[in-house]
Amino acid sequence: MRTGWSALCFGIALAAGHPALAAKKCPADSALVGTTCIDKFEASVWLVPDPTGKNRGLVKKLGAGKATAAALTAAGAVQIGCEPPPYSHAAIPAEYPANGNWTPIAGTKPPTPGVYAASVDGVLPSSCLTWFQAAQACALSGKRLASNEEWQRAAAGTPDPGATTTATSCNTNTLAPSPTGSRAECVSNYGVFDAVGNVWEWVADWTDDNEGVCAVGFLGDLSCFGGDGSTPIPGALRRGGGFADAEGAGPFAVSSVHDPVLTAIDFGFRCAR
Amino acid sequence: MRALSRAVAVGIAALASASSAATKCPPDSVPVGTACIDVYEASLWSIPLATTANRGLVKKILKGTATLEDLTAGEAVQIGTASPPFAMTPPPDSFPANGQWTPVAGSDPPSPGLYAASIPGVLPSAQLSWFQADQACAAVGKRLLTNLEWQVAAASTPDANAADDFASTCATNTADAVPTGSRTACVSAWGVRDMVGNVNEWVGQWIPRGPDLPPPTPGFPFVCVPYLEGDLSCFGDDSAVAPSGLSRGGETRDFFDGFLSGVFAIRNERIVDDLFQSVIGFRCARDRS
Repeated sequence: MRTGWSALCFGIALAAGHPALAAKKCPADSALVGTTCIDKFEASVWLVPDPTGKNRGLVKKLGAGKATAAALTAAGAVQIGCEPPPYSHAAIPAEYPANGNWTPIAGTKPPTPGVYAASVDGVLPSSCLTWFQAAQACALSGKRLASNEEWQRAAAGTPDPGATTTATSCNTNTLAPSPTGSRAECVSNYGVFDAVGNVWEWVADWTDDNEGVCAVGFLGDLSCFGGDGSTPIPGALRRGGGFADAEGAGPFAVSSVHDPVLTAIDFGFRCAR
Repeated sequence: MRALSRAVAVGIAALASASSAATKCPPDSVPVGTACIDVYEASLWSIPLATTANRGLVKKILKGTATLEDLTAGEAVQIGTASPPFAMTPPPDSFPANGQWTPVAGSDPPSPGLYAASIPGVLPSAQLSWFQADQACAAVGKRLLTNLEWQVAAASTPDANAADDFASTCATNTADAVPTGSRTACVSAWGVRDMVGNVNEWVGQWIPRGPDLPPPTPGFPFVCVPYLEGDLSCFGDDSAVAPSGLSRGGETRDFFDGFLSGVFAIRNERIVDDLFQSVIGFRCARDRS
Protein backbone atom coordinates (compact mmCIF):
# COMPACT_ATOMS: atom_id res chain seq x y z
CA MET A 1 0.00 0.00 0.00
CA ARG A 2 2.77 2.28 1.04
CA THR A 3 4.54 1.59 -2.22
CA GLY A 4 1.37 2.47 -4.10
CA TRP A 5 1.01 5.83 -2.30
CA SER A 6 4.63 6.79 -2.85
CA ALA A 7 4.35 5.84 -6.48
CA LEU A 8 1.20 7.95 -6.78
CA CYS A 9 2.96 10.92 -5.18
CA PHE A 10 5.90 10.34 -7.48
CA GLY A 11 3.54 10.29 -10.43
CA ILE A 12 1.92 13.56 -9.40
CA ALA A 13 5.28 15.16 -8.70
CA LEU A 14 6.53 13.97 -12.05
CA ALA A 15 3.48 15.35 -13.81
CA ALA A 16 3.64 18.66 -11.95
CA GLY A 17 7.38 19.14 -12.10
CA HIS A 18 8.29 17.92 -15.56
CA PRO A 19 8.17 20.87 -17.93
CA ALA A 20 6.72 18.88 -20.83
CA LEU A 21 3.98 17.29 -18.73
CA ALA A 22 3.22 20.49 -16.80
CA ALA A 23 2.66 22.46 -20.02
CA LYS A 24 -0.90 23.12 -21.10
CA LYS A 25 -2.27 20.22 -23.14
CA CYS A 26 -4.26 21.10 -26.20
CA PRO A 27 -7.27 19.26 -27.60
CA ALA A 28 -6.57 17.31 -30.79
CA ASP A 29 -8.05 19.96 -33.11
CA SER A 30 -5.46 22.53 -32.05
CA ALA A 31 -1.75 23.10 -31.52
CA LEU A 32 -0.03 24.62 -28.50
CA VAL A 33 1.52 27.97 -29.42
CA GLY A 34 3.00 29.62 -26.35
CA THR A 35 0.13 29.74 -23.87
CA THR A 36 -2.67 29.29 -26.39
CA CYS A 37 -4.24 26.34 -28.17
CA ILE A 38 -4.64 27.57 -31.74
CA ASP A 39 -6.99 25.65 -34.02
CA LYS A 40 -5.00 23.76 -36.64
CA PHE A 41 -7.54 24.45 -39.37
CA GLU A 42 -9.50 27.45 -40.60
CA ALA A 43 -12.97 27.33 -39.12
CA SER A 44 -15.87 25.53 -40.70
CA VAL A 45 -19.22 26.61 -39.26
CA TRP A 46 -21.96 24.02 -38.79
CA LEU A 47 -25.66 24.18 -38.06
CA VAL A 48 -26.28 21.21 -35.77
CA PRO A 49 -29.88 19.98 -35.38
CA ASP A 50 -31.21 19.28 -31.88
CA PRO A 51 -27.95 20.47 -30.26
CA THR A 52 -29.02 20.07 -26.64
CA GLY A 53 -30.97 16.83 -27.19
CA LYS A 54 -30.05 14.07 -29.60
CA ASN A 55 -26.79 15.75 -30.66
CA ARG A 56 -25.65 16.82 -27.20
CA GLY A 57 -22.75 14.39 -27.37
CA LEU A 58 -21.61 15.79 -30.69
CA VAL A 59 -21.65 19.35 -29.33
CA LYS A 60 -19.54 18.15 -26.39
CA LYS A 61 -17.14 16.58 -28.86
CA LEU A 62 -16.90 19.91 -30.72
CA GLY A 63 -15.90 21.65 -27.49
CA ALA A 64 -13.39 18.92 -26.74
CA GLY A 65 -11.90 19.13 -30.24
CA LYS A 66 -12.88 15.56 -31.12
CA ALA A 67 -15.60 16.06 -33.72
CA THR A 68 -14.85 15.08 -37.31
CA ALA A 69 -16.46 16.26 -40.54
CA ALA A 70 -17.84 12.74 -41.01
CA ALA A 71 -19.41 12.73 -37.54
CA LEU A 72 -20.95 16.16 -38.14
CA THR A 73 -22.43 15.09 -41.45
CA ALA A 74 -23.69 11.79 -40.02
CA ALA A 75 -25.52 13.75 -37.31
CA GLY A 76 -27.33 15.84 -39.92
CA ALA A 77 -25.21 18.95 -39.41
CA VAL A 78 -24.77 21.19 -42.44
CA GLN A 79 -21.97 23.61 -43.11
CA ILE A 80 -23.09 27.22 -43.41
CA GLY A 81 -21.47 30.24 -45.06
CA CYS A 82 -21.18 31.29 -48.71
CA GLU A 83 -23.94 29.75 -50.81
CA PRO A 84 -22.52 30.12 -54.37
CA PRO A 85 -20.03 27.56 -55.74
CA PRO A 86 -17.37 26.51 -55.03
CA TYR A 87 -18.58 26.72 -51.44
CA SER A 88 -22.19 25.61 -51.94
CA HIS A 89 -22.71 25.92 -48.20
CA ALA A 90 -26.14 26.22 -46.66
CA ALA A 91 -27.54 29.69 -46.02
CA ILE A 92 -26.75 31.32 -42.70
CA PRO A 93 -30.06 31.17 -40.79
CA ALA A 94 -31.95 34.38 -40.06
CA GLU A 95 -31.67 33.54 -36.36
CA TYR A 96 -27.90 34.00 -36.69
CA PRO A 97 -27.75 37.50 -38.19
CA ALA A 98 -24.78 39.52 -39.39
CA ASN A 99 -24.68 41.60 -36.21
CA GLY A 100 -24.19 38.50 -34.04
CA ASN A 101 -27.38 38.94 -32.02
CA TRP A 102 -28.54 35.35 -32.29
CA THR A 103 -31.85 33.91 -31.23
CA PRO A 104 -31.77 30.66 -29.28
CA ILE A 105 -33.57 27.62 -30.66
CA ALA A 106 -36.72 27.28 -28.52
CA GLY A 107 -36.21 24.99 -25.55
CA THR A 108 -32.42 24.70 -25.79
CA LYS A 109 -30.59 24.57 -22.49
CA PRO A 110 -28.10 26.19 -22.40
CA PRO A 111 -29.59 28.58 -24.95
CA THR A 112 -27.95 28.09 -28.34
CA PRO A 113 -28.63 28.94 -31.98
CA GLY A 114 -27.25 25.51 -32.92
CA VAL A 115 -24.29 27.14 -34.70
CA TYR A 116 -20.79 25.90 -33.90
CA ALA A 117 -17.29 26.43 -35.29
CA ALA A 118 -15.13 23.36 -35.87
CA SER A 119 -11.45 22.86 -36.68
CA VAL A 120 -11.52 19.89 -39.05
CA ASP A 121 -9.53 19.04 -42.15
CA GLY A 122 -10.79 18.27 -45.63
CA VAL A 123 -13.61 20.82 -45.88
CA LEU A 124 -13.77 24.26 -47.43
CA PRO A 125 -13.46 26.91 -44.74
CA SER A 126 -16.68 28.80 -43.99
CA SER A 127 -16.64 32.30 -45.47
CA CYS A 128 -19.19 35.10 -45.93
CA LEU A 129 -19.50 35.46 -42.15
CA THR A 130 -19.10 38.78 -40.36
CA TRP A 131 -16.67 39.32 -37.51
CA PHE A 132 -19.66 39.26 -35.14
CA GLN A 133 -20.83 35.88 -36.46
CA ALA A 134 -17.28 34.51 -36.34
CA ALA A 135 -16.79 35.68 -32.74
CA GLN A 136 -20.06 34.08 -31.62
CA ALA A 137 -19.37 30.80 -33.47
CA CYS A 138 -16.05 30.41 -31.63
CA ALA A 139 -17.67 31.21 -28.26
CA LEU A 140 -20.51 28.75 -28.85
CA SER A 141 -17.84 26.05 -29.24
CA GLY A 142 -16.14 27.13 -26.00
CA LYS A 143 -13.42 28.98 -27.89
CA ARG A 144 -12.67 32.55 -28.99
CA LEU A 145 -11.18 34.32 -31.97
CA ALA A 146 -7.39 34.30 -31.90
CA SER A 147 -5.86 37.68 -31.08
CA ASN A 148 -3.61 39.37 -33.61
CA GLU A 149 -0.58 38.54 -31.49
CA GLU A 150 -1.58 34.88 -31.21
CA TRP A 151 -2.22 34.69 -34.94
CA GLN A 152 1.20 36.15 -35.73
CA ARG A 153 2.89 33.76 -33.33
CA ALA A 154 1.08 30.71 -34.73
CA ALA A 155 1.82 31.58 -38.39
CA ALA A 156 5.60 31.55 -37.90
CA GLY A 157 7.45 29.44 -40.42
CA THR A 158 4.57 29.05 -42.88
CA PRO A 159 6.26 29.08 -46.33
CA ASP A 160 4.96 31.99 -48.39
CA PRO A 161 4.85 31.02 -52.10
CA GLY A 162 4.14 34.57 -53.24
CA ALA A 163 2.34 34.37 -56.58
CA THR A 164 3.73 30.93 -57.41
CA THR A 165 1.02 28.66 -56.11
CA THR A 166 1.59 24.91 -56.60
CA ALA A 167 -0.63 21.97 -55.70
CA THR A 168 0.99 21.60 -52.29
CA SER A 169 1.96 25.19 -51.46
CA CYS A 170 -0.26 27.69 -49.68
CA ASN A 171 -3.22 28.75 -51.82
CA THR A 172 -2.32 32.33 -52.70
CA ASN A 173 -2.99 32.73 -56.40
CA THR A 174 -6.03 30.79 -57.57
CA LEU A 175 -9.69 31.51 -58.10
CA ALA A 176 -11.08 29.40 -55.27
CA PRO A 177 -10.40 28.22 -51.72
CA SER A 178 -9.02 24.75 -51.12
CA PRO A 179 -10.06 22.25 -48.44
CA THR A 180 -8.54 22.86 -45.01
CA GLY A 181 -5.23 21.10 -44.49
CA SER A 182 -5.06 19.89 -48.10
CA ARG A 183 -1.93 21.92 -48.95
CA ALA A 184 0.74 19.78 -47.32
CA GLU A 185 3.49 22.43 -47.33
CA CYS A 186 1.21 25.16 -45.98
CA VAL A 187 1.91 24.56 -42.32
CA SER A 188 3.62 26.64 -39.67
CA ASN A 189 6.39 25.58 -37.31
CA TYR A 190 3.67 24.87 -34.74
CA GLY A 191 1.56 22.66 -37.01
CA VAL A 192 -1.07 25.26 -37.91
CA PHE A 193 -2.37 24.91 -41.49
CA ASP A 194 -3.35 27.50 -44.10
CA ALA A 195 -2.41 30.66 -42.16
CA VAL A 196 -1.13 32.09 -45.44
CA GLY A 197 -3.69 32.49 -48.23
CA ASN A 198 -6.83 30.41 -48.72
CA VAL A 199 -9.17 32.75 -46.78
CA TRP A 200 -8.37 35.87 -44.79
CA GLU A 201 -8.87 35.20 -41.09
CA TRP A 202 -10.70 37.58 -38.75
CA VAL A 203 -8.79 38.09 -35.50
CA ALA A 204 -10.08 39.56 -32.24
CA ASP A 205 -8.50 43.01 -32.45
CA TRP A 206 -10.28 46.11 -33.65
CA THR A 207 -8.54 49.23 -34.83
CA ASP A 208 -9.54 52.25 -36.90
CA ASP A 209 -11.52 51.34 -40.01
CA ASN A 210 -8.92 51.82 -42.71
CA GLU A 211 -11.21 52.42 -45.70
CA GLY A 212 -8.76 51.23 -48.31
CA VAL A 213 -5.43 52.98 -47.77
CA CYS A 214 -3.15 50.02 -48.46
CA ALA A 215 0.54 49.61 -49.13
CA VAL A 216 3.02 46.87 -49.78
CA GLY A 217 4.08 46.11 -46.25
CA PHE A 218 6.69 43.92 -44.61
CA LEU A 219 8.30 41.39 -47.01
CA GLY A 220 5.89 42.35 -49.76
CA ASP A 221 2.72 41.36 -47.92
CA LEU A 222 -0.30 43.61 -48.02
CA SER A 223 -0.74 46.18 -45.22
CA CYS A 224 -3.94 48.18 -44.85
CA PHE A 225 -3.62 49.39 -41.30
CA GLY A 226 -4.35 52.58 -39.42
CA GLY A 227 -6.97 55.27 -39.62
CA ASP A 228 -7.03 57.78 -42.42
CA GLY A 229 -8.90 60.43 -40.47
CA SER A 230 -12.32 59.58 -41.84
CA THR A 231 -15.27 57.66 -40.43
CA PRO A 232 -14.76 57.00 -36.71
CA ILE A 233 -15.97 53.42 -36.69
CA PRO A 234 -14.03 50.27 -35.87
CA GLY A 235 -12.28 48.10 -38.43
CA ALA A 236 -11.72 44.47 -37.46
CA LEU A 237 -8.33 43.06 -38.33
CA ARG A 238 -7.95 40.25 -40.86
CA ARG A 239 -4.74 38.32 -41.36
CA GLY A 240 -2.86 36.19 -43.87
CA GLY A 241 -4.48 37.10 -47.18
CA GLY A 242 -6.84 35.12 -49.38
CA PHE A 243 -6.68 32.74 -52.33
CA ALA A 244 -6.45 35.52 -54.92
CA ASP A 245 -4.08 37.96 -53.22
CA ALA A 246 -0.90 36.57 -54.85
CA GLU A 247 2.19 38.36 -53.42
CA GLY A 248 -0.09 40.31 -51.07
CA ALA A 249 -0.88 37.19 -49.03
CA GLY A 250 1.61 36.05 -46.42
CA PRO A 251 2.33 35.81 -42.70
CA PHE A 252 2.53 39.60 -42.48
CA ALA A 253 -0.60 40.44 -44.49
CA VAL A 254 -2.87 42.59 -42.37
CA SER A 255 -5.99 44.59 -43.14
CA SER A 256 -8.48 46.69 -41.26
CA VAL A 257 -10.26 47.79 -44.41
CA HIS A 258 -13.53 46.29 -43.30
CA ASP A 259 -16.06 47.25 -40.74
CA PRO A 260 -16.64 44.07 -38.68
CA VAL A 261 -20.15 43.70 -40.11
CA LEU A 262 -19.03 43.25 -43.72
CA THR A 263 -18.34 39.95 -45.46
CA ALA A 264 -16.62 38.56 -48.55
CA ILE A 265 -16.06 35.23 -50.26
CA ASP A 266 -12.50 35.13 -48.94
CA PHE A 267 -13.12 36.20 -45.31
CA GLY A 268 -12.98 33.30 -42.88
CA PHE A 269 -11.59 32.93 -39.38
CA ARG A 270 -9.82 30.62 -36.94
CA CYS A 271 -10.61 29.96 -33.27
CA ALA A 272 -8.41 29.46 -30.23
CA ARG A 273 -8.70 28.39 -26.60
CA MET B 1 6.99 -1.70 -11.94
CA ARG B 2 3.45 -2.29 -13.15
CA ALA B 3 2.07 -0.77 -9.93
CA LEU B 4 4.34 2.22 -10.39
CA SER B 5 3.20 2.94 -13.93
CA ARG B 6 -0.43 2.50 -12.90
CA ALA B 7 0.05 4.96 -10.03
CA VAL B 8 1.81 7.44 -12.30
CA ALA B 9 -1.10 7.17 -14.72
CA VAL B 10 -3.57 7.75 -11.87
CA GLY B 11 -1.56 10.77 -10.75
CA ILE B 12 -1.53 12.26 -14.20
CA ALA B 13 -5.24 11.53 -14.66
CA ALA B 14 -5.97 13.30 -11.37
CA LEU B 15 -4.15 16.39 -12.59
CA ALA B 16 -5.90 16.25 -15.94
CA SER B 17 -9.34 16.01 -14.40
CA ALA B 18 -8.54 18.90 -12.06
CA SER B 19 -7.80 21.08 -15.05
CA SER B 20 -10.96 20.08 -16.90
CA ALA B 21 -13.02 20.85 -13.77
CA ALA B 22 -11.72 24.44 -14.02
CA THR B 23 -14.02 25.01 -16.99
CA LYS B 24 -16.93 25.67 -14.61
CA CYS B 25 -17.52 29.30 -13.74
CA PRO B 26 -17.98 30.72 -10.22
CA PRO B 27 -21.59 31.67 -9.40
CA ASP B 28 -21.06 35.41 -9.89
CA SER B 29 -20.31 34.81 -13.58
CA VAL B 30 -21.40 32.83 -16.64
CA PRO B 31 -19.34 30.93 -19.20
CA VAL B 32 -18.90 32.68 -22.55
CA GLY B 33 -16.41 30.95 -24.81
CA THR B 34 -13.10 30.75 -22.94
CA ALA B 35 -14.01 33.31 -20.24
CA CYS B 36 -16.20 33.54 -17.15
CA ILE B 37 -17.94 36.90 -17.53
CA ASP B 38 -19.31 38.62 -14.43
CA VAL B 39 -23.11 38.67 -14.61
CA TYR B 40 -23.33 42.16 -13.07
CA GLU B 41 -21.58 45.49 -13.51
CA ALA B 42 -18.94 45.83 -10.84
CA SER B 43 -19.50 47.34 -7.42
CA LEU B 44 -16.30 48.25 -5.60
CA TRP B 45 -16.09 47.81 -1.82
CA SER B 46 -13.78 48.93 0.93
CA ILE B 47 -13.76 46.17 3.54
CA PRO B 48 -12.57 46.85 7.09
CA LEU B 49 -10.57 44.19 8.92
CA ALA B 50 -10.00 42.39 5.61
CA THR B 51 -7.15 40.27 6.97
CA THR B 52 -8.77 39.45 10.30
CA ALA B 53 -12.49 39.47 11.11
CA ASN B 54 -13.56 39.84 7.46
CA ARG B 55 -11.10 37.37 6.01
CA GLY B 56 -13.97 34.98 5.24
CA LEU B 57 -15.88 37.71 3.43
CA VAL B 58 -12.88 38.45 1.22
CA LYS B 59 -12.57 34.74 0.44
CA LYS B 60 -16.23 34.70 -0.57
CA ILE B 61 -15.70 37.62 -2.96
CA LEU B 62 -12.76 35.82 -4.55
CA LYS B 63 -14.88 32.68 -4.96
CA GLY B 64 -17.80 34.65 -6.36
CA THR B 65 -20.19 33.69 -3.55
CA ALA B 66 -20.43 36.96 -1.57
CA THR B 67 -23.87 38.58 -1.32
CA LEU B 68 -24.96 42.12 -0.53
CA GLU B 69 -26.07 40.84 2.89
CA ASP B 70 -22.55 39.49 3.50
CA LEU B 71 -21.00 42.83 2.53
CA THR B 72 -23.45 44.79 4.68
CA ALA B 73 -22.82 42.49 7.65
CA GLY B 74 -19.08 43.04 7.20
CA GLU B 75 -19.65 46.84 7.23
CA ALA B 76 -18.17 47.16 3.76
CA VAL B 77 -18.48 50.62 2.18
CA GLN B 78 -19.15 51.05 -1.53
CA ILE B 79 -16.61 53.11 -3.44
CA GLY B 80 -17.45 55.36 -6.39
CA THR B 81 -18.68 58.82 -7.19
CA ALA B 82 -20.31 60.91 -4.45
CA SER B 83 -22.65 62.52 -7.00
CA PRO B 84 -26.30 61.59 -6.74
CA PRO B 85 -27.80 59.08 -7.21
CA PHE B 86 -24.60 57.13 -6.56
CA ALA B 87 -23.75 58.86 -3.25
CA MET B 88 -20.76 56.59 -2.73
CA THR B 89 -17.49 57.14 -0.93
CA PRO B 90 -14.80 58.38 -3.37
CA PRO B 91 -11.71 56.19 -3.72
CA PRO B 92 -9.13 56.75 -0.97
CA ASP B 93 -5.84 58.56 -1.71
CA SER B 94 -4.16 55.15 -1.56
CA PHE B 95 -6.11 54.13 -4.71
CA PRO B 96 -5.53 57.10 -7.03
CA ALA B 97 -6.87 57.65 -10.56
CA ASN B 98 -3.55 56.66 -12.11
CA GLY B 99 -3.81 53.19 -10.58
CA GLN B 100 -0.56 53.42 -8.61
CA TRP B 101 -2.05 52.07 -5.38
CA THR B 102 -0.44 51.70 -2.00
CA PRO B 103 -0.84 48.31 -0.30
CA VAL B 104 -2.69 48.15 3.01
CA ALA B 105 -0.03 47.76 5.69
CA GLY B 106 0.51 44.10 6.52
CA SER B 107 -1.57 42.75 3.62
CA ASP B 108 -0.13 39.54 2.20
CA PRO B 109 -0.38 39.28 -0.77
CA PRO B 110 -0.28 43.08 -1.11
CA SER B 111 -3.82 44.43 -1.48
CA PRO B 112 -5.32 47.90 -1.94
CA GLY B 113 -8.07 46.86 0.50
CA LEU B 114 -10.71 47.38 -2.19
CA TYR B 115 -12.67 44.51 -3.70
CA ALA B 116 -14.80 44.44 -6.87
CA ALA B 117 -17.92 42.30 -6.64
CA SER B 118 -20.49 41.05 -9.16
CA ILE B 119 -23.76 41.19 -7.21
CA PRO B 120 -27.35 42.27 -7.95
CA GLY B 121 -29.30 45.05 -6.28
CA VAL B 122 -26.68 47.81 -5.95
CA LEU B 123 -25.82 50.79 -8.12
CA PRO B 124 -22.70 50.03 -10.14
CA SER B 125 -19.59 51.84 -8.96
CA ALA B 126 -18.82 54.69 -11.34
CA GLN B 127 -16.44 57.58 -11.92
CA LEU B 128 -13.43 55.33 -11.71
CA SER B 129 -10.60 55.71 -14.18
CA TRP B 130 -9.56 52.93 -16.55
CA PHE B 131 -6.52 52.34 -14.32
CA GLN B 132 -8.64 52.04 -11.17
CA ALA B 133 -11.08 49.67 -12.89
CA ASP B 134 -8.22 47.53 -14.20
CA GLN B 135 -6.58 47.31 -10.76
CA ALA B 136 -9.90 46.70 -9.00
CA CYS B 137 -10.51 43.60 -11.11
CA ALA B 138 -6.94 42.37 -10.59
CA ALA B 139 -7.23 42.74 -6.81
CA VAL B 140 -9.92 40.03 -6.80
CA GLY B 141 -8.16 37.70 -9.22
CA LYS B 142 -10.06 38.96 -12.26
CA ARG B 143 -9.40 41.31 -15.17
CA LEU B 144 -11.27 43.71 -17.42
CA LEU B 145 -12.99 42.06 -20.37
CA THR B 146 -11.35 42.34 -23.75
CA ASN B 147 -13.39 44.16 -26.37
CA LEU B 148 -13.98 40.79 -28.08
CA GLU B 149 -15.30 39.26 -24.87
CA TRP B 150 -17.56 42.22 -24.21
CA GLN B 151 -19.02 42.06 -27.72
CA VAL B 152 -19.63 38.32 -27.58
CA ALA B 153 -21.15 38.42 -24.09
CA ALA B 154 -23.53 41.27 -24.99
CA ALA B 155 -25.18 39.43 -27.90
CA SER B 156 -28.94 39.83 -28.20
CA THR B 157 -29.39 42.15 -25.23
CA PRO B 158 -32.65 43.94 -26.14
CA ASP B 159 -31.91 47.60 -26.87
CA ALA B 160 -34.70 49.79 -25.55
CA ASN B 161 -33.47 53.07 -27.08
CA ALA B 162 -36.25 55.63 -26.45
CA ALA B 163 -38.67 52.97 -25.26
CA ASP B 164 -37.06 52.65 -21.82
CA ASP B 165 -40.06 51.65 -19.68
CA PHE B 166 -38.29 52.53 -16.40
CA ALA B 167 -39.14 49.06 -15.12
CA SER B 168 -37.86 46.02 -16.99
CA THR B 169 -36.06 47.26 -20.13
CA CYS B 170 -32.42 48.26 -20.27
CA ALA B 171 -31.88 51.70 -18.74
CA THR B 172 -31.24 53.72 -21.91
CA ASN B 173 -33.39 56.80 -21.52
CA THR B 174 -33.55 57.73 -17.89
CA ALA B 175 -31.71 60.29 -15.83
CA ASP B 176 -30.00 58.01 -13.36
CA ALA B 177 -28.24 54.69 -13.05
CA VAL B 178 -30.31 51.80 -11.71
CA PRO B 179 -29.42 48.89 -9.43
CA THR B 180 -27.59 46.00 -11.10
CA GLY B 181 -29.91 43.29 -12.39
CA SER B 182 -33.05 45.30 -11.61
CA ARG B 183 -34.07 45.64 -15.26
CA THR B 184 -35.13 42.04 -15.73
CA ALA B 185 -35.38 42.09 -19.54
CA CYS B 186 -31.89 43.57 -19.87
CA VAL B 187 -30.07 40.29 -20.29
CA SER B 188 -27.94 38.88 -23.12
CA ALA B 189 -28.27 35.50 -24.81
CA TRP B 190 -25.48 34.31 -22.51
CA GLY B 191 -27.16 35.51 -19.30
CA VAL B 192 -25.09 38.66 -18.73
CA ARG B 193 -27.04 41.66 -17.39
CA ASP B 194 -27.09 45.39 -18.04
CA MET B 195 -24.64 45.45 -20.92
CA VAL B 196 -26.78 48.02 -22.73
CA GLY B 197 -27.19 51.35 -20.97
CA ASN B 198 -26.94 51.93 -17.20
CA VAL B 199 -23.21 52.74 -17.04
CA ASN B 200 -20.64 52.64 -19.83
CA GLU B 201 -18.18 49.83 -19.19
CA TRP B 202 -14.43 50.06 -19.52
CA VAL B 203 -12.85 47.20 -21.49
CA GLY B 204 -9.18 46.28 -21.60
CA GLN B 205 -8.18 47.77 -24.94
CA TRP B 206 -6.55 51.09 -25.67
CA ILE B 207 -6.79 52.76 -29.06
CA PRO B 208 -5.41 56.04 -30.41
CA ARG B 209 -7.07 58.97 -28.74
CA GLY B 210 -10.14 60.34 -30.49
CA PRO B 211 -11.58 63.83 -30.26
CA ASP B 212 -12.45 64.99 -26.77
CA LEU B 213 -15.99 64.04 -25.95
CA PRO B 214 -18.27 67.03 -25.77
CA PRO B 215 -20.61 68.08 -22.98
CA PRO B 216 -23.96 66.31 -23.14
CA THR B 217 -25.72 68.68 -25.49
CA PRO B 218 -27.34 67.36 -28.64
CA GLY B 219 -26.62 68.93 -31.99
CA PHE B 220 -23.03 70.10 -31.62
CA PRO B 221 -20.35 68.99 -34.05
CA PHE B 222 -18.06 66.20 -32.99
CA VAL B 223 -16.53 63.18 -34.57
CA CYS B 224 -18.85 60.40 -33.58
CA VAL B 225 -21.27 58.67 -35.91
CA PRO B 226 -24.27 56.40 -35.67
CA TYR B 227 -22.92 52.88 -36.11
CA LEU B 228 -24.83 49.59 -36.36
CA GLU B 229 -28.48 49.99 -35.37
CA GLY B 230 -27.74 53.66 -34.74
CA ASP B 231 -25.52 52.97 -31.72
CA LEU B 232 -22.90 55.61 -31.16
CA SER B 233 -19.37 55.06 -32.42
CA CYS B 234 -16.55 57.40 -31.39
CA PHE B 235 -13.52 55.43 -32.39
CA GLY B 236 -10.08 56.89 -32.96
CA ASP B 237 -9.16 59.38 -35.67
CA ASP B 238 -7.58 62.41 -34.07
CA SER B 239 -4.23 64.08 -34.16
CA ALA B 240 -3.52 63.67 -30.45
CA VAL B 241 -0.59 61.34 -29.84
CA ALA B 242 -2.19 59.73 -26.83
CA PRO B 243 -4.16 56.64 -25.89
CA SER B 244 -7.84 56.30 -25.09
CA GLY B 245 -9.52 53.48 -23.22
CA LEU B 246 -12.49 51.85 -24.88
CA SER B 247 -15.85 51.89 -23.15
CA ARG B 248 -18.83 49.88 -24.34
CA GLY B 249 -22.61 49.76 -24.20
CA GLY B 250 -23.58 53.34 -23.47
CA GLU B 251 -25.29 54.70 -20.39
CA THR B 252 -28.64 55.66 -18.93
CA ARG B 253 -28.90 59.13 -20.44
CA ASP B 254 -27.75 58.25 -23.92
CA PHE B 255 -31.07 58.49 -25.69
CA PHE B 256 -32.01 61.55 -23.67
CA ASP B 257 -28.80 63.20 -24.82
CA GLY B 258 -29.34 62.33 -28.48
CA PHE B 259 -26.80 59.51 -28.44
CA LEU B 260 -27.68 55.85 -28.67
CA SER B 261 -26.54 53.15 -26.34
CA GLY B 262 -26.63 49.51 -27.40
CA VAL B 263 -24.54 46.42 -28.00
CA PHE B 264 -22.57 48.23 -30.70
CA ALA B 265 -22.01 51.50 -28.81
CA ILE B 266 -18.27 52.14 -28.57
CA ARG B 267 -16.41 55.17 -27.31
CA ASN B 268 -12.85 56.19 -26.84
CA GLU B 269 -12.55 57.88 -23.49
CA ARG B 270 -9.72 59.71 -21.83
CA ILE B 271 -8.14 57.17 -19.57
CA VAL B 272 -8.06 59.29 -16.45
CA ASP B 273 -10.18 62.41 -16.65
CA ASP B 274 -12.93 62.13 -19.24
CA LEU B 275 -15.85 64.50 -18.91
CA PHE B 276 -18.26 61.57 -18.98
CA GLN B 277 -16.43 59.56 -16.38
CA SER B 278 -19.27 59.94 -13.89
CA VAL B 279 -21.12 57.36 -15.92
CA ILE B 280 -18.29 54.99 -16.71
CA GLY B 281 -18.25 51.83 -14.68
CA PHE B 282 -16.76 48.45 -15.44
CA ARG B 283 -17.24 44.71 -15.38
CA CYS B 284 -14.70 41.99 -14.62
CA ALA B 285 -13.97 38.53 -16.03
CA ARG B 286 -11.85 35.51 -15.27
CA ASP B 287 -10.18 33.05 -17.64
CA ARG B 288 -12.37 29.97 -17.88
CA SER B 289 -9.59 27.47 -18.40
